[in-house]
Amino acid sequence: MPRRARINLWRLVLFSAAVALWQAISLIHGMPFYISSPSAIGARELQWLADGTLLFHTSITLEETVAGFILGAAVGIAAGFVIGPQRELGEVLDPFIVALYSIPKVALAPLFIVWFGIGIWMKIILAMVTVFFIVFFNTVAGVRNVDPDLINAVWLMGGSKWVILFKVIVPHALSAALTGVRIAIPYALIGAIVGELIASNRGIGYLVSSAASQFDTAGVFAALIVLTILATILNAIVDLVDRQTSRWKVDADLSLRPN
Amino acid sequence: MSTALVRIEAVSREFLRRDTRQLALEAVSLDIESGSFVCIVGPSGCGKSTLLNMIAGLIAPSSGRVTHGGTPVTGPRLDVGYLTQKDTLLPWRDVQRNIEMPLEIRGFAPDERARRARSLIETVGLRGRERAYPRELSGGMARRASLARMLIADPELLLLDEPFSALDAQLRQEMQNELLRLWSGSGKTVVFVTHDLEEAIALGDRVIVLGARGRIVRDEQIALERPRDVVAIRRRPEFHAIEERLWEALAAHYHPEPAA
Repeated sequence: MPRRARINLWRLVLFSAAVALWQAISLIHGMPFYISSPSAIGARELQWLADGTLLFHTSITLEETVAGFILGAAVGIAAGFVIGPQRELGEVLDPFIVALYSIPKVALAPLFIVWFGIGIWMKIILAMVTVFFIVFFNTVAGVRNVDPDLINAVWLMGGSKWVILFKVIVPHALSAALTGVRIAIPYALIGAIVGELIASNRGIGYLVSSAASQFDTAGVFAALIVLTILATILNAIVDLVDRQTSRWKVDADLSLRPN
Repeated sequence: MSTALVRIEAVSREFLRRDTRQLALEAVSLDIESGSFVCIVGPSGCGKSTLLNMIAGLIAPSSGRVTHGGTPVTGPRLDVGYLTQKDTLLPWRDVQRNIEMPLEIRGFAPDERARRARSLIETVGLRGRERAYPRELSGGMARRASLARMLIADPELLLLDEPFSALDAQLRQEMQNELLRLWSGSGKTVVFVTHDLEEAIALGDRVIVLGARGRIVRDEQIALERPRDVVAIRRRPEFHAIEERLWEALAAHYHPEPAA
C-alpha cells in the first residue's frame, strides 16, 4: 500500500475508534450533559442542515470573516505603503502602534459594541483589526527590507527612481504583504467568532454560546464541528496560496513582530 | 595605445570610517582600450571594486575624473553592463522576465523583448528553464541568467566584479570559457575584477595588479593566443612565467591590513 493511502487509512481508523469509544462511553454511562454522544450530535447536524439553521449561521460567520479579512488586508497594505517609506514617521508612531497591537482583541469587543452596536459590523471590525496588524507589519517590513543589491542592480541597468519603485520595491513589499495576508486568513475567523461569542443573535459563535446557555451539549458540539470544518477549509486555502506563491515569494523571516 | 574607451585620470576616493578618513584610492590613472579584456587583480581592500564602481558611475571620485567615450561618468549608463559576485535576479520574476528587464527599462516592445531573451537563453544554455524562478536555479544556472541579463541590451562595456568567485572550481572554469566565448569577436570592452591571479591571466589581454590604495604595481600585456581554453592555457609554460612575475609584484606590495 502506498504511504499516502496508509496514512489516510490510519487516520480513518483513529477517527472511527475515537468516535466509537465516545459513543460507547455515552451509551454505558449516559452522561449526555457532559459529553453528549456522536449520534445525538450527528442527528443535530442533520436537523440543522434540514431546517436551514446551518446554512444561515455559517453564511453569517463567513460574511463577517471575509469582509473583515478584505478590509483589514486592504487597510493594512495601504497603511504599510504609506508609513513604510517614512522612517521618521514610523519611528514616531511605533510605540503607539505596538501598544494598540498588544491589546488582546477580545478586550476591544465591548468598546466596539458601544461604537458599532451588536450587529454584523462589530464582528467585521473585530476581524478587520486582527487582520490589519498582521498585514501592516509585514507590508512595512517588505517596503523597508528590500535588498539594496537588487535596487543597485536595477539602477545600474539604467532604471529610474520610478522603475525601481514599481519594479523592485512594490513587488517586494507586495510579496511580503502576501505573507501577512496568508497568515491572517485564520485570524479573521477568530475575530469574527470572538465577536459572535460576546454579543450576537446569529453566526456560528452565537450557535455555540446559545446552545451552551441552554445546557444543550449536543448543540455545542455540533456548532464546534461546523467551526472546525470552516477553519480547516480556511487552512486549506492558506496551503493553496503557499503552493501558488512559494516559487517566487521573498523570504519573510525578516518581517512579523512577535505574535 | 590609441583608442581609450575609459580614462581614469588621477582619481582619488576617500571614505569615512568610524569618523576617520580613509583613502581607498590615491591618484590612480588608467586607460582602458576599446575592445580589450582588462583584468584588475589585487588583494581584498586594495580598492579594485571601488575603481570598478566608479567606472560604473555607482560612486563618484573625491578628486580626479573618470570619462567614458570622452564624457565624464556621472551615473549609470545604458551602454554599460555590470555583473557582481552576488546574484541580483529579481525573485518574483522568472528567468525570461529577469533577462528581459534591461529591455523593459529601455521601452522595447514585449515581442521584441521575448525574441531577444529567447535567443540569449539559447546562447547561455538555459533552454527549458525560461519559466523557472531564481530560487529554483542552481548557482551555475543563476550565473548564466545574470550573464544573459547583462548582455541582452548589447552594452559595449562590461564590468564584472568577481563574477565567478562564489562558484566551485569546475563550474568557475566552465563559466570562464563561456564568458570568453560570448566576448570573442563581439568587440566589447571588458573590465574584470578578481583576486584570483590565475583567472586574471587566463582571461585577460592585460592584467593590472593593484597594491594598497589602488596603486598600480604592475601593468602587463598577456601575449597568449586567442581563442583560449582556460583549462588548457594554464598548462602552458608562458602562463607560469607570467604568473610568477605577477605574483612577485603582488607579494612585494602586499601589506596585510593592520588588525582593527
